[in-house]
Amino acid sequence: MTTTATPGDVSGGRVREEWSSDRAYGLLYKLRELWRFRDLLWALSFRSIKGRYKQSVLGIAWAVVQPLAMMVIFTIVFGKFAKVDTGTIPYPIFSYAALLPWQLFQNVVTKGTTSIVDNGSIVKKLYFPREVCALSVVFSSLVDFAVAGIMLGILMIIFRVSPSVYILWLPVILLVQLLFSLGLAFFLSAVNAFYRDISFGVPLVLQVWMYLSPVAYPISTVPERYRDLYMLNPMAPIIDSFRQILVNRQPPDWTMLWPGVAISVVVLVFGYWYFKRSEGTFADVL
Amino acid sequence: MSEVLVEAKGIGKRYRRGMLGGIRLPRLFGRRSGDGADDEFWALKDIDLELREGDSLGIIGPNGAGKSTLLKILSRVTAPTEGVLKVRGRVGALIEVGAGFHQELSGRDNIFINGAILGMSRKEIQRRFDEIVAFAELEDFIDTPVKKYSSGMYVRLGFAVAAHMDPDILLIDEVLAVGDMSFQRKCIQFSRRVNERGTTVVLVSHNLAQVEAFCTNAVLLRQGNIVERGRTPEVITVYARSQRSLSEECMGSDSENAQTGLVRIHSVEVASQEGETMASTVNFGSPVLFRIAYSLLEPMETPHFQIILLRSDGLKVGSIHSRLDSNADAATQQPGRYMAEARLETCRLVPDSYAIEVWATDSQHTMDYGMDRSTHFEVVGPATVDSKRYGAYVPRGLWTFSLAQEQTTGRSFIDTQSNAKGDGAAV
Repeated sequence: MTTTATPGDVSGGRVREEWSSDRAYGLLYKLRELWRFRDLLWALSFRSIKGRYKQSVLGIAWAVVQPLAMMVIFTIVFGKFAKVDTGTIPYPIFSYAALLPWQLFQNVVTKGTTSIVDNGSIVKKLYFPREVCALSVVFSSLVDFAVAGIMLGILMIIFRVSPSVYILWLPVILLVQLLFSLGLAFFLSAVNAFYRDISFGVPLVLQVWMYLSPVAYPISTVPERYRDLYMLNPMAPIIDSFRQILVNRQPPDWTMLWPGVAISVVVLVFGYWYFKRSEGTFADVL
Repeated sequence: MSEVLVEAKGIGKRYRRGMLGGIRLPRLFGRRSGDGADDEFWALKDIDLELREGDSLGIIGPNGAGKSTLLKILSRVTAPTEGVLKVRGRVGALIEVGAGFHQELSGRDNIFINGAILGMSRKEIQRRFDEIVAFAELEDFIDTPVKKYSSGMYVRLGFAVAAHMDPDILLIDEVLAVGDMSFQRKCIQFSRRVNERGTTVVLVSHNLAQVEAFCTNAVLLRQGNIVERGRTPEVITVYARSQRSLSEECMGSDSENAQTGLVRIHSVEVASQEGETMASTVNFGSPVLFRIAYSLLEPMETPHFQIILLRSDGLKVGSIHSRLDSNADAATQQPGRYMAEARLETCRLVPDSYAIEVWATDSQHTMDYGMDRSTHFEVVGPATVDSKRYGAYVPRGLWTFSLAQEQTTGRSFIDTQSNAKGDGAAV
């Protein structure tokens, strides 16, 4: 365990940890510090979960309404008008199984991008590891994800789609997606602290991005010669894997997934690195 | 020898002007380009500080001297551009009351949120939860959303949480020095208690009386540099003197138009008893004397003085006018040094620190001859007399109590009241 004075330690002869601005602290130190601030992470997540739907009649049900509304639109436009071929899976459930992770991705990236600016009042005045801001977005978005997931269960009952054992892959696929979106959130929130343009551009990019990911249509509809290029988007195999394990009753296709995993890890490492090297000046520009 | 908790060596902080405007794109990756020295400035330069366990340091200086920047660097909110900062132990910052409060959430929830933001663990907050609620006197409202709180309740809750953190080093910003008086006093009492326990306290304040009352040592910042350091009274004297010479400089350059500068106010002293010189504290209810030493630069009629009393939050509590109170003739006086004194029988200002602004004017009160605002004093007194319940000033009434003879008319009550004489001389 740590030898540092944890916040809870109020014993008389506590060990005072020294911090020096000229020392380079490694990843291990940073993660340990993050662990020490876990209660802050909990508090910020709790605040946004509990505070978000206060004073609204539907409350947390809004977490379901959003993907559900998208599903209805997609079903009409892509299912009925464009007649996208989804095999044996009914289109509503086909699209909802993809909208579920997509909404999570969209929430983490959008809110993650503005997380430093949104928490400006405390970032400007108090010290804490700044990545707590983006991490709290992940946790609070996961609650919405879980609530919206209940709706998937209901849809599966309605459309008589039974789950398979491959649903056990869910935590793994979810983790890959979270690593990727967190990496983006780190990088974008840091850049957004300096250039607020980012917060305007991100929703636009995400809109386009959704159509470049297999949310409304299956990957099989993408022409073969563009397929490799298409799969460079980590969200393509991730969304596809969600659909595979949730409703297609199949394991994730790892030959498709591993480049996505690799890119996700690279994005996370770069995002975190960039974030940590610029966090010292966040307070100056907020 | 007690342990060194904060060690700052050659700290400098550079800001770029118009940081949010036209930033060069290379900045995106934090590259430090050597050009553009004109659009950058140093908010702090060559700051050396050493703080030991149990130290209490005041940071004073004019606006823009870098006080807040220094506090931000000490609290690690912002990184120094150059120099080395070493911090040993847990740093707590009383910089904003109720940081991170969510308006829609209850006081209970916000205690946990605010506590975590201040660096407390959930366990620690849980353990001290009842204490915090009791301290804030909010037992009946703890499950009410804070948006329904009055501003007083809000501040009480925020402060109650902050008062229960247990840092090695406590940083207090001047924003806390505004706000209501009883709160400010609570804050200082708390800081003193914490300091006595061995916590190192750094206080940034404009309120010199507060700094003097609380800090053993002080540093004076000017334009990003420490220009004076040492025992608090000496540093404050240097600061006050420089402020005065600064204002004299301004007056000197204005004297051309003969509107100002005809009367030079050398000093304004506050004495708690007659004859006793220079007291920075006055007891509530005891006599107080204001002594103004001045010079006339030309033959002129005796100037009148107006002494304005300003509470530490800037509230103009009242003023004393020689023109209203004295019958002195407007005789012409020769150039030279003079003294004016105003005595109050009892000082009935609510305990707090006060600044005095003295104006010298002509007898018609149309021309300002000079001004001085360098003097501060503190009124001390019973803790029960606070601004929340008593207002700023507590006039003395002469009370009589008697049995009402004719209860039907109610006239006797009015009679009794009109017989009671207020004490006009009290402030």
